Amino acid sequence: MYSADIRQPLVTGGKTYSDVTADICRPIENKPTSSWWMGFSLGVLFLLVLVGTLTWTVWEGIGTWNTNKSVMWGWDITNFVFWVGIGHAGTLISAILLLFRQKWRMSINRSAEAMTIFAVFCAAIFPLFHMGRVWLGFWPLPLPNAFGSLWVNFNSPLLWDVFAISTYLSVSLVFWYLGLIPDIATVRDRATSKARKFWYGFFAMGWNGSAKSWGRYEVVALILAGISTPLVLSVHTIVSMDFATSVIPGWHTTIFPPYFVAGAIFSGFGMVLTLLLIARHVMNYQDYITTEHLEAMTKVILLTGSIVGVAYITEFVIAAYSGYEYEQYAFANRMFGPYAWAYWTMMFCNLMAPQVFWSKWARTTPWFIFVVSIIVNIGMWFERFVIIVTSLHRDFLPSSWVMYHATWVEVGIFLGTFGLFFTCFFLFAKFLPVINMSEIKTIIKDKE
Amino acid sequence: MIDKSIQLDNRKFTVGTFDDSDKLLHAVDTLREKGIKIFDCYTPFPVHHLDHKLGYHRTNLTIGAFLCGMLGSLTGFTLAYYMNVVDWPMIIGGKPQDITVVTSFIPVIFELTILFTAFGMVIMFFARTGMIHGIKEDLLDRRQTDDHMLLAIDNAEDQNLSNSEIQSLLQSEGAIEVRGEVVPFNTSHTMEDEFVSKEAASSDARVDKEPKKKVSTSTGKKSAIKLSESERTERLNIIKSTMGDAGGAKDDLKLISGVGPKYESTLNEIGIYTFDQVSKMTPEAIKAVEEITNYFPGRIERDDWISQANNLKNK
Repeated sequence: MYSADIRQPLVTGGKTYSDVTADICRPIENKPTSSWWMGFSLGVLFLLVLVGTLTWTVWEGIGTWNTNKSVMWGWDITNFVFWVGIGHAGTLISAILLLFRQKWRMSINRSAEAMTIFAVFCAAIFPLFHMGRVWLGFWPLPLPNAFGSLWVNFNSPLLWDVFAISTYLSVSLVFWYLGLIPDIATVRDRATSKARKFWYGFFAMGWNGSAKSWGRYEVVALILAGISTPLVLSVHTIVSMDFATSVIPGWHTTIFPPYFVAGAIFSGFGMVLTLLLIARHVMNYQDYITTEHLEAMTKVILLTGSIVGVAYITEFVIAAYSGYEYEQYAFANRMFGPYAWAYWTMMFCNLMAPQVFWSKWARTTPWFIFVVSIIVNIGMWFERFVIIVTSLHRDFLPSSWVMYHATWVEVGIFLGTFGLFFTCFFLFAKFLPVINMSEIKTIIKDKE
Repeated sequence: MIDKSIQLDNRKFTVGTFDDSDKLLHAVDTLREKGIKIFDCYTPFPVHHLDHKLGYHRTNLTIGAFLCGMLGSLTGFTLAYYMNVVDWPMIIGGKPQDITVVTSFIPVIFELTILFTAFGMVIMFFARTGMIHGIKEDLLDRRQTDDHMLLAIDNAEDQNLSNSEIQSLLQSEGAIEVRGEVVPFNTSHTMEDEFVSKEAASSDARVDKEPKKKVSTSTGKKSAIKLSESERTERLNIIKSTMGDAGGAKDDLKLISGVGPKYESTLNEIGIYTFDQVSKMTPEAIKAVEEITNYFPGRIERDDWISQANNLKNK
């Protein structure tokens, strides 16, 4: 049994190797439970909302959104940053914690990486549809222009974003798939139906667990972790540069990259906790996702939440100290202006709420963690809303001052992306091993 | 003599099966000390130090990955520099559009470095290991991706000990099973029935060659043998004596993975009604149940009904 002095056992219940296989393959090999059907149908329902609202946006035009000449980025970019941020926890868990040799990541990395991929899908929808003419969505790619010799602008953070997000998605997908191969092979060798034999056999690529290939495999996984670490930091850094390289008061700050990365990890862990607490309960994985795991994750929430909190305060102090009245006004407006409710929601959810995790009871009580994780999700959405909307709705020219409220279409698209996310997640939970079996087996020892 | 690929072709192997990674490591040490050439080991999870003990060198994939990364950087730089400086200089704010503008190309260069490294390395890994979609896997044991750890020795290899000596050596190292003439087989292209039946004309040539061996070594026979009346009573007695009487109680045996409604009623016919009874199964009783009900041999143990039943019983 793997043990570290500071930790409880990471897998409880005295599992043997074959117990691990049987437990984790059970959802794949049996008929879906009624709670799975319920969750899946709900996901599909919201997915239909997404399809409907996006179709309407394309059919009727971008005017179905309330974004306007002052607030040109509204819910769409808020949601984009929100979803990209959520993805970051997956890479943090699978890459950074691998480099730090944190064994507790083993039972959660698979689902967190899956979340990363689905979250990036959801994120990509927003900038794509914000273009208005979504069928011209390939224009940001560095292709020879059909209308002249104009190329894309490599000085623009928006183009950096195109490269960052697409690299992030494809590298995460490769990393995730590589990790899945040995487990797919396990499912293949237990399969009884023809279809399952074929598909799992197809995706297992002939894997048979030879020591030679394991040796290579581990090196490849390590290098992938090594390059994913700067990648994940770069992605949200570049997202923050979308704002920081502009001259809008409230955006033009050098603190943005670290502050956004910490916020991304914070929101990602919030979402990982929300999902895993449900999954662990529904799929009876309490022996694999123990309170020890939950506690470790809440500590990450506490750390990154505090970093974000410090960033909020720093941002404010620097604005006040700057002597630059537009910057000062932007922050005063956030706190006491028409969107003050959003600002204070953000402050409560991100700065205050996670501080409860100083208490051991709070870190080890699942229902309480669940409540806080939801609060964190809400808080991080509001953070992006506050940054984007409060900075834009007061322009340098008072004649351009406006208020911005989302239309039902914008709300529908946002809710719909949750449908896409959960539909993908439920399919993943049905067809692929939710916990990395081959890694978990390295930290248990067979009973004699 | 280690093959670069995971494909085993038509070799025959002597295979020792272990259920503990420490025993496997110890066996590898002992065998190598005695000068025996080990073909490879097969484990369901990466066993620490196993590759060193087998004498494998660290893979050179890292060098390949580095080269791919360099190629990525170069691509990123060339792309951005050609498009924005050479072909169509984009003057912004009157700033010079020459080599000094490269600082703002760094994000793109960086992302392409990562992209090329990741994909290049993974593709090289697949190529080197001989992995591709749609190939048949070469297995030596159905459970080598579950909980069995195998030590395989190529029978064609010249060894300084005879095959039977190697086998007894493996046995003394704590192998739970040692088999002499194992031929690689696959699970994804053969159906359960073909796979165990002697007569099955499998499409896979390798299966045809040594069907008998495989029958006795993998899951045993799925016997369609009709039991005589006396044999039946004998087995029923074993079941009754070890598993006891249900005493009128009845559990939902379908909750055990591997039991469907039909098999549940078969179990009820031979007097098995409760989780408590199932949890008391001995290896003998399991054999008896399998034979009397014509159930997939080995499946009860593989699915570990006993601990399943124990869990269900205590719910």
